[in-house]
Amino acid sequence: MRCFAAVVGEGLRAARRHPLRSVLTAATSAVAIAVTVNVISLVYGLGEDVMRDAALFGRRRVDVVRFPVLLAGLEREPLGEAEHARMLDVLDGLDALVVPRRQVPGVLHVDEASHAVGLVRAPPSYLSTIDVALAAGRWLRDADAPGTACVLDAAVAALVFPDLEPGAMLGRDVQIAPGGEAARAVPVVGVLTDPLTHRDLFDAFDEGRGARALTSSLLSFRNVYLPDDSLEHGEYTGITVTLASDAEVDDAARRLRTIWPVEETDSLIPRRSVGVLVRRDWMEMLGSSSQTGAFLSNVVWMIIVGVAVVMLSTLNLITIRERYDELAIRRVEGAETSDVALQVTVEGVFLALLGGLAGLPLGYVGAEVLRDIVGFPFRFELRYALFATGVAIVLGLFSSVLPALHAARLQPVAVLTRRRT
Amino acid sequence: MSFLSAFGLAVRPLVRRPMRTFLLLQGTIWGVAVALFPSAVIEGTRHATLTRGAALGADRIAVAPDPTAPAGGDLKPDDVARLREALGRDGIDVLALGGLRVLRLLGGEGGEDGALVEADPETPRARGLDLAEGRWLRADDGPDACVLEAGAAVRFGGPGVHAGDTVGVDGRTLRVVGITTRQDATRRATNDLGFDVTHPMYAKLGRMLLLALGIPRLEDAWKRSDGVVYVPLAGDASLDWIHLRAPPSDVKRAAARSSETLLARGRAALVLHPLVLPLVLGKEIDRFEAVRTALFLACLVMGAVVMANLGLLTVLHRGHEIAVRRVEGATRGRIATQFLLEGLALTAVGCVLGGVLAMGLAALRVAVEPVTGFDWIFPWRDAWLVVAVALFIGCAASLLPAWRASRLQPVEGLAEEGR
Repeated sequence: MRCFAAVVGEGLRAARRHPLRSVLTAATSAVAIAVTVNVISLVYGLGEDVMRDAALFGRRRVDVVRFPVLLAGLEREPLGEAEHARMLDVLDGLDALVVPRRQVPGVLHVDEASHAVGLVRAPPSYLSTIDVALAAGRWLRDADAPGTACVLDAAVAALVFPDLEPGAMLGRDVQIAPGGEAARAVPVVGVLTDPLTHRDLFDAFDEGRGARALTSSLLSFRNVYLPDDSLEHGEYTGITVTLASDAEVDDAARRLRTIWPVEETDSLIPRRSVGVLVRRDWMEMLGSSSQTGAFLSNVVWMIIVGVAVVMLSTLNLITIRERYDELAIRRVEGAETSDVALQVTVEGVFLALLGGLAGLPLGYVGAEVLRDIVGFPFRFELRYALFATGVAIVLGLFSSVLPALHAARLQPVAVLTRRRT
Repeated sequence: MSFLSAFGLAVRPLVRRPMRTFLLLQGTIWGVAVALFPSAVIEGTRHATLTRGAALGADRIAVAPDPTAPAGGDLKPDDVARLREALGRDGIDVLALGGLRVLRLLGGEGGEDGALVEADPETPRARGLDLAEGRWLRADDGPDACVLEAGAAVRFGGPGVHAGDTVGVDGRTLRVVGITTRQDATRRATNDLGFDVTHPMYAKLGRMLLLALGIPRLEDAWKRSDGVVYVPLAGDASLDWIHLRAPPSDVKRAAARSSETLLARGRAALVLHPLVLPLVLGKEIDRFEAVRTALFLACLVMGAVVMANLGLLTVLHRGHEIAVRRVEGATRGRIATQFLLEGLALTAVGCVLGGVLAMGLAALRVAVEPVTGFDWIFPWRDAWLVVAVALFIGCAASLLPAWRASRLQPVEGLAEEGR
């Protein structure tokens, strides 16, 4: 142990003997670690936010819904009261809350402008089908008559009342109508919170908004919720089942697929007009895509760290030649080859770690600047900092391996004889 | 000593150890590559979209009734005229616009072999087709007139079929008024969202991600079959599709206006267009330039720090050589210039190698992208800027060693060597 401490001490002393060179080596590591912590915080921060937002749509929900399948001649299957009754029948015995909804594309009028929104006929139990909280006011009640109340998604509320807090929006009118109809004023009784953490970013890159089908656009949370019977009667667009456990989700999906069977098991959306969608499956698919994206983004910092390893390794190899005399004398004094290798490695790891620790605040500041410029979310967390510190140690180890081997292999006699001659 | 001989003197140590030079250049190489590779892809794709937009489908919009909406919001033939008016009011140059109704899919369930469709006269052109012979359908054509896509012409009329011949399709005898040109492989692989459906990345990742984001499942193989038979649209029954062509730079605006117009008419419609190309044409993507710049500078700073470090070592190693040169009459300025030139030469080589690497990465990025129209070109404008910044940083990195070298006393250098 004492011997190990002596070797470490020697390594640190050597680093101190050439302060400028040591600072420059550590600076290389600092930049690499700054980039690492920056990229990880950006990519994983965003990925986790997306998954947390998606989870608000409810893991323990199963939908029977109209599928967005564009196939000419695809039979339009019914989804109305009869199907609702059949669902209640097959789900008998499960602790399930079954909530139907009816959606139509609508228009929200604000001054001279009009905006596309989803109009959702929502019974009082609808709020139990999503895990989104009210920002102000209340949810719809049985006593609310058509045209006397509506609840707004936060994104819609921000369009109509850009300067008001949610509480101040209550009681004010919004001008809405299903597509093709004249607008009418409906008072706001509640405003939901926005489940999309990065709404601006989502909107900026959402080129597919025009292609998103009505049932899918529920996820965009640009809806106005109206009391039951507010929209003209007709078929449902979806019926949501809320369940108490994951096991019941599987059971409910299996039972519902006896009514709406699937031939394809590899696609979230089978080739039929009405079917069963398990929200957990959707979230897993989204999560898998998000993780693939995050994994690919890791390539960026891996390249930077790789470049740092190659350059530092080469630099250390050149530097080590300059220190052959010193290392040879240590060997003559009784140091083992492993002691010499350890000394060089400790020196490399120490400098890389020192640089890495300096790189953490550098990465933080860099990310703050980038967030302001790019508008990209960034989350600096202790675990990312710890991971980056680990990367710094690995960087130091990798960039010291070759120099350490060279140092260990040197022949003291040859080195010292050459020096004398 | 002339500049050239000073430069030669500076380059010699770099050439003597090419592998070492190459390894130490990694910072500059990757810095330049990171800076140029995104520009190469974005500019290449923009260039391809603007110059070959029609061939890539970047000028096309397809509108379909929303299958998830309540019944009654179907598209009607008169929607086509209303769309034309609305787009015209917005100053959008409508290149072609028309609706179609699928009468029968040929082949599998998605119409892998083609389809028999009723269409407005402009519909085939709105789908980006060109005539090989004959003419397009006209408003006064009878129900027996047809335009054949090239594959359909061979299938129903044989290789010798021409405009004016008659063919039998689905039990109907039709008079061929026109035949389109054969569609190339790119077109036959690209769907209305601009994705190459045959690309492995689309099948593995893209398709699932699109579904998860609420984009519809497209079962429209007939559109890519080159086997569609167009007969005149008749009656007021609902349309299955409306197709529209507009200049690529106007596609996003035309799509938004189409959505708005149809919604105002009580239609529940899905408006499909290539998703990625408008994004590349737009300004939103430029906001990531800051990220690219940050990575570029990070790589260059790493490279510069290592170069400075190496330069200091070199001064130490070449003390004797510097002393001899000073004794021979070289001024401090000459000595410093030699080290500066060495740094510049090192950076210049790194820039060249970085440029090559950037183009390799761009080609790789384009190859794994399932979006039709992704391409790369060498971004000259950015390249000059990147090289200028890289040379500046390389020069700055050489200042410290150059200063150290110029301060070296000849006596010290020679005495050190003598010891």
